[in-house]
Amino acid sequence: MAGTEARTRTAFAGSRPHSPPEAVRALLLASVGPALWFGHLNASYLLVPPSCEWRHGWAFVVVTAVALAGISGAGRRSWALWDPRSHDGPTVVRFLGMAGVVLAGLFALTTLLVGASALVVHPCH
Amino acid sequence: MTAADVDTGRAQPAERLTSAWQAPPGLPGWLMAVNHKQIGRRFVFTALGFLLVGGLQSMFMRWQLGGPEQDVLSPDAYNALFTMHGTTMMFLFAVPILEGLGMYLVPLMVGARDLPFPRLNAFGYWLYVFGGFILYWSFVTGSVPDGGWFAYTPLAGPEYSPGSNLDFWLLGVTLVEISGILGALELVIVILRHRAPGMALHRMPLFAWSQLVMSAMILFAFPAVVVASLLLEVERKTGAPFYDPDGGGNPLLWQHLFWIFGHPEVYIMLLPATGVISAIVPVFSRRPIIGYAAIVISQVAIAVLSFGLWVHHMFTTGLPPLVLAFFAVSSALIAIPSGVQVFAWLATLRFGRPRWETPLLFIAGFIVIFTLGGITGVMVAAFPFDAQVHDSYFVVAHFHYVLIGGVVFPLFAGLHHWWPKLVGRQPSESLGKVAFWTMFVGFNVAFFPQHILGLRGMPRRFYTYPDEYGWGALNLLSTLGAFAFAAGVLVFVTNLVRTARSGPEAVDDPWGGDTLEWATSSPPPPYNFAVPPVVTSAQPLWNPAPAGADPTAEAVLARLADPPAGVREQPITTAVDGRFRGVALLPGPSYWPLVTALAMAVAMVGVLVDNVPLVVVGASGTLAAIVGWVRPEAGTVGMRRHELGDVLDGRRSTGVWGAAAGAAVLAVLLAYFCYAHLYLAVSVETWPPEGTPPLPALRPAVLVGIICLAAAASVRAGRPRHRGADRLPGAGLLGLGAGVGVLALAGGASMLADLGLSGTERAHDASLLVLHAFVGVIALAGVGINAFAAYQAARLGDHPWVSAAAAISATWWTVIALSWAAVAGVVYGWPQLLGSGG
Repeated sequence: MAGTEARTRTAFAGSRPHSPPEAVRALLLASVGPALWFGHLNASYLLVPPSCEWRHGWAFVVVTAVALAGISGAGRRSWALWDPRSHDGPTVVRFLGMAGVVLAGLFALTTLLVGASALVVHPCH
Repeated sequence: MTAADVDTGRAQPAERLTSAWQAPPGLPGWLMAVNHKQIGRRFVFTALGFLLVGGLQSMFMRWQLGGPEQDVLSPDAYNALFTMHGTTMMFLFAVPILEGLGMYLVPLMVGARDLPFPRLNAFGYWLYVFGGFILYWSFVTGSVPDGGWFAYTPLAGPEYSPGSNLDFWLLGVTLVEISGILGALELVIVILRHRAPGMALHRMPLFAWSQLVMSAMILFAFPAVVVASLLLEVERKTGAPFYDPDGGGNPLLWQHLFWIFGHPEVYIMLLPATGVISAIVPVFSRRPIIGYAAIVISQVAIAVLSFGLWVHHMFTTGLPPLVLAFFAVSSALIAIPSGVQVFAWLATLRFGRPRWETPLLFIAGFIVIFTLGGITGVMVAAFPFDAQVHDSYFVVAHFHYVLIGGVVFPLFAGLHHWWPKLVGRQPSESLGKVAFWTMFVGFNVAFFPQHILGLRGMPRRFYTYPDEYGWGALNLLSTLGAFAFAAGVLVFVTNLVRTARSGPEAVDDPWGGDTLEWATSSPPPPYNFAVPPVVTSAQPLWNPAPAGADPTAEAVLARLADPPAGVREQPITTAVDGRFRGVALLPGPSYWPLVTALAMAVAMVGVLVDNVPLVVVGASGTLAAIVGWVRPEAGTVGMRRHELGDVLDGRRSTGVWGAAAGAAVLAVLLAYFCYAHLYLAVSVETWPPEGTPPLPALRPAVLVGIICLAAAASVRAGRPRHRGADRLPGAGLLGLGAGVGVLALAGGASMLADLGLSGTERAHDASLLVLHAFVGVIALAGVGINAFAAYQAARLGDHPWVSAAAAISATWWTVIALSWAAVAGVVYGWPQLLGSGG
């Protein structure tokens, strides 16, 4: 029992208090796509009245380009964490990396289509 | 692989464990119960009761509509019944039963012994009961809510609903929603902090994933309806015109807030139901699920997308077509992750060896019905089509296909599947199959014709229709189907009730399941697992962890089987990779949750009947009960610190996680209050309205913010910095924090008094008052926490309770400072930015 006690204390003394930073980073990267899509959707909503006033939809192009750049950047970094060519077994970092890639793809598509709506429908209609 | 392969330590002496985790016998024990299984079961049983009541209401409505120009119900009674039917099914049945199932199953599935805050869990249950009681007490007083389950303004406002009908709705629903938020907090923290060692996120059961996603959604969505309801109740009681255009308000604000809650609400119900499916399909297909990662990602994607769809409920409110296009696109795209899940289940069935027993039949029924509901969902996402069928029976058919197909069928599959674990007895297969086929046929006969009725122009919420419209035959068919469906539900519930009383005893793992709940007895012992398990796979029963997989954790976990008398211990792991981190000590049974909820309900009833003394009694009672609840108790914290090496307490305790999650909910609430203010600012033509007194410069607001930060700093300085060392925890500094807090409150109140606002005349002023009041209330709570912590620090010295309280208080004051910064930015900074000065 005394041996177990000593081992337990030693192990705790050296253990990390939180999840590893690369896992937390993977989690944050996975959330970038959804967050930017949500921001883009609401920004686009808010831009409708001023765009009608300006009689031009360039603002939608700008916010869409910015959002897509951010999403694709996060997706690329997630891809590096996923590393699909690796032969290592599944780890939580690779799992979150894959989630980041797929979420970036889905939300890039959604962002693109939301932005493209502004090319079809005039803000003053 | 069987349950016996996983060592749960049941062979070891367990008397001390049982006595530590078990509630006292008899009625006192029933009232004091806090164990997740007892509370989870109560949620499930109470919600099933509400299902029957809500179903009965729908039967009356279908009877009324079964033929043209019937007079089974008066128009007023019909209004009341469709309001209470929707309210009951959405607020009192669907979410509580899914959360209740989660409360029961998730700790078992992740290898925990209880939820992290057992008393908070019990409190949530009592709030739910009292909220439901308030809603149904309206039948006794003859003031049944009649404004629809959505309570649109101005119909629900004081002008068009002058009675107390809507007050019953607003106050009852608010209590139920607070209960939902508390349940979500529990589930998020148990999943993130109390998983079995080794259960990294990629090994978590899909049901637990779905509960995590649902709970996170609740934390973001429910505050929206709480804010909307509070503003409407304030308008109804005081005349503050938040939703009244005559006072500078906007009725569309209600729709925005309501649907920011209401659309995610659909997925809050749907996602845990899909979690049930993902748990059942592999078990009955006898193979691991195909596309685990795809399902997890789809759930997250659906959750996020659902927060960007609320405007599709407002396609006919006159918003610009480009805005409608944005939301139509997002609405249609949610079909992608939904479809991915369906294909994953179909693939699992295709490549498995399915056993077509009752749970899997309900899943098959789900796939058929939900797919049809999804297709009509894509149709109504196209706003030109939606404009045609809006408020028609097509929409009624669509959402019943989604909600009954998507929620009730999987839920019933889950109830049949886990009933042995809930009650320890096996339900009848033959009755289960009879129930399924009756429900499946009855449902389609009831609701498919409603698509056609809608396309032929039959509107929703009309209590009757003339014969010459030609809707009679389809309505009769629909009514017959509804009665058949109800008969199926009754057979199902009868099977469960009969089983619970006299069914054959269930074995531990009757279906050959793969997740940890099947590793323990049916029903489980009060402590779930004598030795909490270690896992190395997403199917821990099919691929059990080898001995020595995590020697450090196993050494400590083995010792949890033999605790000191009365001590409840639970492992803590890291959030992402599930590494063993330490042990938490949980509180035991208590009357305080019941007393606190009762006092809150009394305060609510006081508001309802305009009785100020009753409000004061309820509010004081709530405060006193909270003090009784949180006071330190001998034996609940820190007892085994030196024996186990590292019991997590103080600033690393689960309580601090709870405080952080609570702070996040407050932040979301404040965000919705700010949203309401800014929405009015941009949607109302003249803002601020004429006659509004000018706001002062930003400087005093900044000063109040600095005082709040000083309070936070004082509390932080007073926190014990060396846990376990002999340094005194600085009761004086904690007291100073309380004093500085009072100063901040006084400063804010003085600023507000100088403004000369008139909340009953102008929505602008009312909104400012509400924002200030929000920060004032949380600051007042902060002062109370500090003062109480200072008192306990002076009394107890270096005690883990003081350490935790100080850490929570420091978090709280940081939140207050940030909240004030947000309010000051919105109230004082925004107008100055726009140059309006006012």
